[in-house]
Amino acid sequence: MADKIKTEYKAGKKVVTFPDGKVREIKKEEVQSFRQHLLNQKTNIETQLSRVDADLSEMEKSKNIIVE
Amino acid sequence: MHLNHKKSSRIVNRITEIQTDGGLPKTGQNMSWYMFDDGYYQMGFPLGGAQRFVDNGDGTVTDMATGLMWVSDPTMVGLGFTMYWYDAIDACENLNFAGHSDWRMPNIFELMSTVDHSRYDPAWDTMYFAYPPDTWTPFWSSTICAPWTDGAWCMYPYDGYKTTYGIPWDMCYVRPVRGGQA
Repeated sequence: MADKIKTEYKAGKKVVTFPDGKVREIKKEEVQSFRQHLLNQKTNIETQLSRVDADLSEMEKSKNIIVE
Repeated sequence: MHLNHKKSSRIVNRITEIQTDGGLPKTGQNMSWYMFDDGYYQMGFPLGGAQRFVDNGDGTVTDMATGLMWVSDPTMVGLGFTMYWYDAIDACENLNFAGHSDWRMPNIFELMSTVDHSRYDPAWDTMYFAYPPDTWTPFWSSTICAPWTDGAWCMYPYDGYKTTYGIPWDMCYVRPVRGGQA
């Protein structure tokens, strides 16, 4: 079983310690920036979902139309 | 027989049995955070610490790993705004820049090959590729989404995330490319 990554929160930062001793400090602004990016992705996915749903709805409505 | 399945054997086989002048570019991660992660191996081209991108001094950048030539700053060629997919294709095809008229819109593999995974906002080397007007709006690729042909694959400059945008509705940025194999 490999050593796990240790996470702590200090001085307003997320401090990640890797098994070999390397430490990465993540600032609040970095996480907020990534959060905004995820929200943008979420908005886009919701937009694409509504378009796909519209396609599915049209397909359902047209199921009795025979293609010759 | 079981020895052939050991990790060390697989690596030796890969190095000695496969000879190629091409391959996938490095991801850009040069820091190893965990043993055997991407930063540990740093697999890909260019090998070692060789320079990957060359600034041609005329607003274009050549990628030594892929052989592709890119427009460094789309704003410089009048493409610094978002546009529909069809308009982006036309804009690339009609572009005459740095003595070349064979510019085109990149496919999704080509577009993603510029991503440097050690960076974000934007996720590319800004020594060679200019900052986009914003990093929340994706760049178009010429590759259409197979299960839903109203969509084209795109890439967010923020982190290199691959996504789908609607061809008839959405507006994205574009970075023209030329060269490559057909």
